[in-house]
Amino acid sequence: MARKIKHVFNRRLDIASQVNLEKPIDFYFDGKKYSGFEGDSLASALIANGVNIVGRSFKYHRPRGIMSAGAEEANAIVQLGKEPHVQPNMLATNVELYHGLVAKSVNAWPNAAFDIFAILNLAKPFFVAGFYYKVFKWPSWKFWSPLVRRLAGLGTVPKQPDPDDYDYHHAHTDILIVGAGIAGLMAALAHGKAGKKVLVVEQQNQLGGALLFEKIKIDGISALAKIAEIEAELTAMDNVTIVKRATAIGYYDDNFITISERLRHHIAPQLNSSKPRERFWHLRAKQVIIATGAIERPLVFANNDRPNIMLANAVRHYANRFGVVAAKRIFLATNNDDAYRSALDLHALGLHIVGIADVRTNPQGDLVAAVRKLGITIYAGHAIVDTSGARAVNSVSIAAINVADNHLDERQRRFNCNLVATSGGWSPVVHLHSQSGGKLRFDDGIQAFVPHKYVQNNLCIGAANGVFELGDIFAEAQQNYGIMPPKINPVLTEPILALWDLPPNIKKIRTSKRWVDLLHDVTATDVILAARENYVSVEHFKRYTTTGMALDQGKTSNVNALAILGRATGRDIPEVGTTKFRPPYSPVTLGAMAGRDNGILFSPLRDLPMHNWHADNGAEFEDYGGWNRPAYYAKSKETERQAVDREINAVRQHVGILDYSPLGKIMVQGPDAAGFLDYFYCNNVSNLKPMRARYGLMLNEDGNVIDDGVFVRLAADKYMVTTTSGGAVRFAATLEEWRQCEWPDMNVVITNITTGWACISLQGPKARKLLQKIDLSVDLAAAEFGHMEMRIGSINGVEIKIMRTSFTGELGFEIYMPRSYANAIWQMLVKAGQEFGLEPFGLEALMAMRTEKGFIHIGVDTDSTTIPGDVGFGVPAAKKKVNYIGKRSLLRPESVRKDREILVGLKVVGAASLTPGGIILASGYDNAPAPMDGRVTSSYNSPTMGHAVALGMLKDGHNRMGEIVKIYDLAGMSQAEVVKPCFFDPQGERLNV
Amino acid sequence: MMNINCPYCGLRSEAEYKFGGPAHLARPGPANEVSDEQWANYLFMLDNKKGVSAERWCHSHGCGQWFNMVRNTITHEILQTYKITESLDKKFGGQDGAKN
Repeated sequence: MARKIKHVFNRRLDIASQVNLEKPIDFYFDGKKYSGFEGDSLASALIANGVNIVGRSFKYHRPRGIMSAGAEEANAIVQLGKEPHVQPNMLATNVELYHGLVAKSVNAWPNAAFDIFAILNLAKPFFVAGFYYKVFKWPSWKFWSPLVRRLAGLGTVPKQPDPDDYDYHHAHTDILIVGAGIAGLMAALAHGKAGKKVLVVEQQNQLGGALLFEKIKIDGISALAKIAEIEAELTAMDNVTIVKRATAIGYYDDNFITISERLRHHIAPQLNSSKPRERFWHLRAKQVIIATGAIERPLVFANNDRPNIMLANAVRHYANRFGVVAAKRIFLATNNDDAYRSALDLHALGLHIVGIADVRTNPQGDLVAAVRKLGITIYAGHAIVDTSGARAVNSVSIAAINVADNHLDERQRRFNCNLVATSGGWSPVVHLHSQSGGKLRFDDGIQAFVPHKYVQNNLCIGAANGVFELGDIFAEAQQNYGIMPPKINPVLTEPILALWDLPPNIKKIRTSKRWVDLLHDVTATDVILAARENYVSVEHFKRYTTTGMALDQGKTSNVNALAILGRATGRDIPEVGTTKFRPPYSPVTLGAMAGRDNGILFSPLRDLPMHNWHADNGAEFEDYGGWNRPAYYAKSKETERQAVDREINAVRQHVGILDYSPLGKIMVQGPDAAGFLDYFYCNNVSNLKPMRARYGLMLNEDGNVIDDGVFVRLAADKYMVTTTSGGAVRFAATLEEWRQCEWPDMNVVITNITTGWACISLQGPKARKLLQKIDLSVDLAAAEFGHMEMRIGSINGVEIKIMRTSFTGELGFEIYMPRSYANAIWQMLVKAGQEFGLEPFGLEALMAMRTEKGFIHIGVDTDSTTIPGDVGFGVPAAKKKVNYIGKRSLLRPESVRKDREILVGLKVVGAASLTPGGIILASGYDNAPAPMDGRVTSSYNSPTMGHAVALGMLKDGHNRMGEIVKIYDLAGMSQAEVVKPCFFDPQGERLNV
Repeated sequence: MMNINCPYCGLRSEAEYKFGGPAHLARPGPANEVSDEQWANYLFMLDNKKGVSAERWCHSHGCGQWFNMVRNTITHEILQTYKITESLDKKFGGQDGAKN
């Protein structure tokens, strides 16, 4: 490649600007070191360094340069930082320069300046509107997507976890002012002086909005000095808060606003900062004042996407505010007066204005006259039709245009230039107003959507309200707030002449690439094609062409696209309408939205009362329904399997101790407690005798089993019901909901005591002997204390409840005590148990033992279609007279179908084990794919039985006992014999000892 | 994010509440006298109204009380909140003697 001749032109102009030329800053872009100054944005620094290709376009990988100076940027999207401080999809126009900043272009490889995928530009005919649907049909989208995903996309996901903190902030205010341009500041002054609590949020690092780059005098002083004066006045008011680098991104019901505040984006990333990186505001405002300004639209012509083709306001923004300009020979194109401001300012800085093409035939406004006076040539009634230049624009071609007749003259004139500034008019930033539910109206005077109807307490002012000229903004403020207008030189402007696309009468222009959405690479031809394919609804059109769907949300493209769609379908813009604006206005990091709900705080686990003891004794913890519970206790060099087998053997032969505290425990008390609970179980509750316990199933109205557990009647009017450990909160809420809403007259009080009361379970043949050794005030003799009974007593003087129950199939006792005593009692029991061979056991051993017994685990063996009859509760559920929840659903034809999937045992043929989720094939099939007759729900190794034991749900299981079924899972095919769902001690003899 | 007036606590943010489906839904019974169609209507054939709709809400992160709310599901305008035992106002289609 030939080396480029270095420009002698210095892009950093020798003028006073807002950058501090005494403070240089080094930064890196695509691996190369550059230098900017304090006060620069990344974009202004890149321009100053002559980097005109900053990214590659989304589909075609065409070279693209910086096109704007703000939040509307569609090209200069960069990936910032190095691992772990990586931030994808940042707009270079919004990034403040700091020492050592590292930025990388996106969607280009190896870099933006030299991109291998630029060859895609030759494949243009394939990338028409809806190309995903058209091109990748064969063989399937799945085949193509990995390739396409690599080619088309923006930033890359960081590899390491984000090391920064993000905070939430909840706040209320009387007045929220979004945008601190001159309109917002006038409103802030008015409300501030009236004593209202005012919050001003500004997305930039400075107040002033458009005045930051306008050469205007207000009250005889510069606009910047005027802004500083107002800022000082506002800062002195205690009731006014100004927050910079904060963007209001969402407007929701009842004046609820979300604001993303960036506290550390402008400084170099650092580890262990005491300050959060971003703060995400949840704000409720009595009134919201939307002073978000307006965004300039580009003009649409052939090859309008070349680097150094920029919005007219952006060119003067960079020149006036940062003292930089991309190139010296400037051509302007416009359909309104504002571009003339750029021409005047740039000319004053000594830059060469090649010419101005204005589509209006006879522009006569004050600014136009001033330009004319300088001898700059204005090509009235002309438009740019095409450009050239491989790595940056180097010429434009213009032609005479008759907008009324939609006709373009064949003759073209060509001008050499290396910077093109275009203005297609201004669109008020109505995003927040639209999000609030407010309606929009298309204003013919400014050719843009303006706020129309308000549905919440908000007000759009200034450019956001379609009031563009400074004098008019002051007049609006006087009308709204009675503020005396400051003195300015009045400027008389003329109206815009809409030009949305070039006339189609010349074939070469008609078939050219005229970009509408630069970020998603949508051309005017794509829009017209979509219209021809009958995508007339704006919502369908948007999704089909992807116009306005990228991270800029169509800030510069939406109105142009709507107008072109309208023209192609013979409608005007109001008839086409606009899509609803949706949050967020600007991209927001996921970190900000997550706040502190991250890492271990995302879903904090609850520790058990005896957590420290478990940890000290080798427990391997796991998350079981939100509780941090021991899965097993590993002794030195034991594998998990060895540890679990040892624990099971200890329970089956001696005695085991289990921290069963997460067991859901809900007290239901009151005169109507018995009748009330009868509604919640499919078996009887009210006929239970005091101090007796019973196992029951809880249903929902669909008849499906939602939970199970033992309930105990402590007294005529007092029950304790137990639930699965993950279900306690949910079931307590369910009881409360029905009590309040369906049976408000029932006299019942519901209290969830799950976390207040610990539970220690002793299981095994020696459990009674162990308990008889300690200071327990309850007679444990089998004749005195039967299975499924409860006693109230004391251990060492501490009041406890003790229940004889079992989830293991062994003689078992559950001791309930206030949580604060649990640790002491546990340690005492462990000590007393040594002589009986006591071992602590974890959840894995418990699950294996309940599977040996065929006891179901809700949500594992059952799902949202399981009814009581499927798990052996058909008879009590049918017999019970009370109209309990779900009863009627058990009478539906689906519920009484004879061949439902029911719980069965699966005895594996051979030495293999099954995997839960394994598919039981329909009879007659030897391998998958095959129709499915059921599935494996639980499977454990059973040292007791000497083989794996499994439970499953099997279609028509009652009639298939003894059948050998074939089971498919990821390990392959297995075979199992269908047996009754109880492998161990089917008579229950071990319980009744 | 609506601001909802809990009949017990006053104005609180929607984040404190939980939505509980349509209000004033009568549970048919006894089970053996209810037809499949009646039961299906109760369980599944809910109005899901576009416009003014009576709903049950629970101030779950507040007082824990369930209450009823008349809300416009298009504009999210809240027209009335009232206790769970109170009837739907006639102006919103409530009828004399109707179930709460």
